[in-house]
Amino acid sequence: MLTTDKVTKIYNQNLPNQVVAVKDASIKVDEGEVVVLQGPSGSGKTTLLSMIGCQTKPNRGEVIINENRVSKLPDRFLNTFKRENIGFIFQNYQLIPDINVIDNIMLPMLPSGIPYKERIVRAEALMRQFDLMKRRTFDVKNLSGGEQQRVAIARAMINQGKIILADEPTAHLDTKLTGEFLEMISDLKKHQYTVVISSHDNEIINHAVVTKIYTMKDGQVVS
Amino acid sequence: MILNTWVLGLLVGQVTIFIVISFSGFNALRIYLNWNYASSDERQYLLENKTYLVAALMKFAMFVHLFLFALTALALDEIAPMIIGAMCPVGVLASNAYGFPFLYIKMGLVFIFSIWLVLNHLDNKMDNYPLVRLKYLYLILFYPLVIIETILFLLFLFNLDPMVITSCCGTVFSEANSGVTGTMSSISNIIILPTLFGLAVLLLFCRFIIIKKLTNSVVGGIIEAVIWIFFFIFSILSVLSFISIYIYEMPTHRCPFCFLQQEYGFIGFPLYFFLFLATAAGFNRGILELIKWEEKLAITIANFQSKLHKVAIIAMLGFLLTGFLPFVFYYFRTGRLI
Repeated sequence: MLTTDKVTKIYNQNLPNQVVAVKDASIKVDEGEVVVLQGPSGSGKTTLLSMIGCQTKPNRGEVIINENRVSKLPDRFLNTFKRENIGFIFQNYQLIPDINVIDNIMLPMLPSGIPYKERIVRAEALMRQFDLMKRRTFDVKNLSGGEQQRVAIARAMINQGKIILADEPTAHLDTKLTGEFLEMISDLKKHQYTVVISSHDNEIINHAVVTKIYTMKDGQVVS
Repeated sequence: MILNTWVLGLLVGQVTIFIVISFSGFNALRIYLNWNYASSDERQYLLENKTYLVAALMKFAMFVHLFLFALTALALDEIAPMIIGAMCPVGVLASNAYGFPFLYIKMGLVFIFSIWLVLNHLDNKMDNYPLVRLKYLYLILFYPLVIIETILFLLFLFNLDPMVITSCCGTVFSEANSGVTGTMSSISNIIILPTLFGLAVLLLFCRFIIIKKLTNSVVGGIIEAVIWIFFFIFSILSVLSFISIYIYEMPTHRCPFCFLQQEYGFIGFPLYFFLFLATAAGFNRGILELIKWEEKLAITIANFQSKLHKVAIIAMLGFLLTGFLPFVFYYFRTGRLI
């Protein structure tokens, strides 16, 4: 489903401020798995997640998703691949506060040229799934933390990609909201979504939904 | 050397092209020698990133080349009053031995560059860079021509001497002139016009009725490309022997440059634009048959060929319309031929 083969990412290569963010990292994630990348801050979790999510290319090594060598794809193909296969949940959700819930959820569909009616149908289905129908026309800034989290997950799923990547999704959440988040992840797992989470939150790491844990240290996968 | 703003503009433009293509050529050599798409090592990723840079630079250089091509005609026209005997760019080009060779190579590079742009466009349409080595090998092969063009250009500019008495276009393109230009002007319209329209009809209809199957093969593609080259040659001959005399409405004035001037409504610009566009698009359509190596690439090429064919035919009709309208107007206005 998803593998990285000895990927290395070096920022500012050959400059005095060169940083080896990830070094020879290899992981393997099967379909329907919930995998956690754990490790301290600066260990390379986010960079590895960015490479899996086609946000950045490695300096060497390969990222393979569904038998596609995505790290070798030219950028113009990568954007389409990313849009169709991968959903992102960011640390602080990265929602647009001044537009309403349904528009936030529909946003990733805009570049795909999906007709408006189809966009509405998909967004409403997800809003029903995440109990957001009552908040349909609310500006996101007026939602609670938990509701914003659900909007973020709905937005990650809107393009119907089967891979969800979450970067420190519970960093700013209390225990109750973290529990809600994990329930939603369990639900995704039941629907055969593949989820990769970067986190150092023990509540996530120790949860039963997690099928595999990779520990990172100084840019390397150590276990 | 004559130094004015036009000359300086040309000089800066030409040197820019040379530097940019030299840099691209150097990187093209590195890409060609080290390219290995199967590999995911650091060097290969660097080369993949480098291809974007080189492609962007080449597109810039080729755009500047086209722009300079038009600018050269205007600049030489501005310089003409400074050269004794010159009345238009032809006199300036003829004032030393490097002018016409420079012009010919500049014209040739337009078509050579067009092939590279087409290869680059098709390579960008694919997700596995199937034409990357070919397009950079091609760049390496034509790079010496860019050097020659730059040398000829510099020699031409540095040898422009206001004290040299040159010939005007009337003499250079006169039937009495024994040189290449004179010979071209002296070929009879009875040969040129039927051949030109014969080639146009062939190019217009061959894709639909006569040799559609043939043109979709390597041999057919080459034949089609050759026909387009002949179309270009006979178009230039028709400009010298027929089109020009109806634009100027003078039987002895056959200059292919004067009608780029304002007095003639800049008609030369659309005329040459259509001619170069038609030839480049048609020629490229034909030679693309040579690189249908794999199925996916062949489909992409076939789609693009169809677009090229439409562009070529429309531009060809544009050329014929622009070129022969002055004759039609003249005939209906006066009821006679020149």
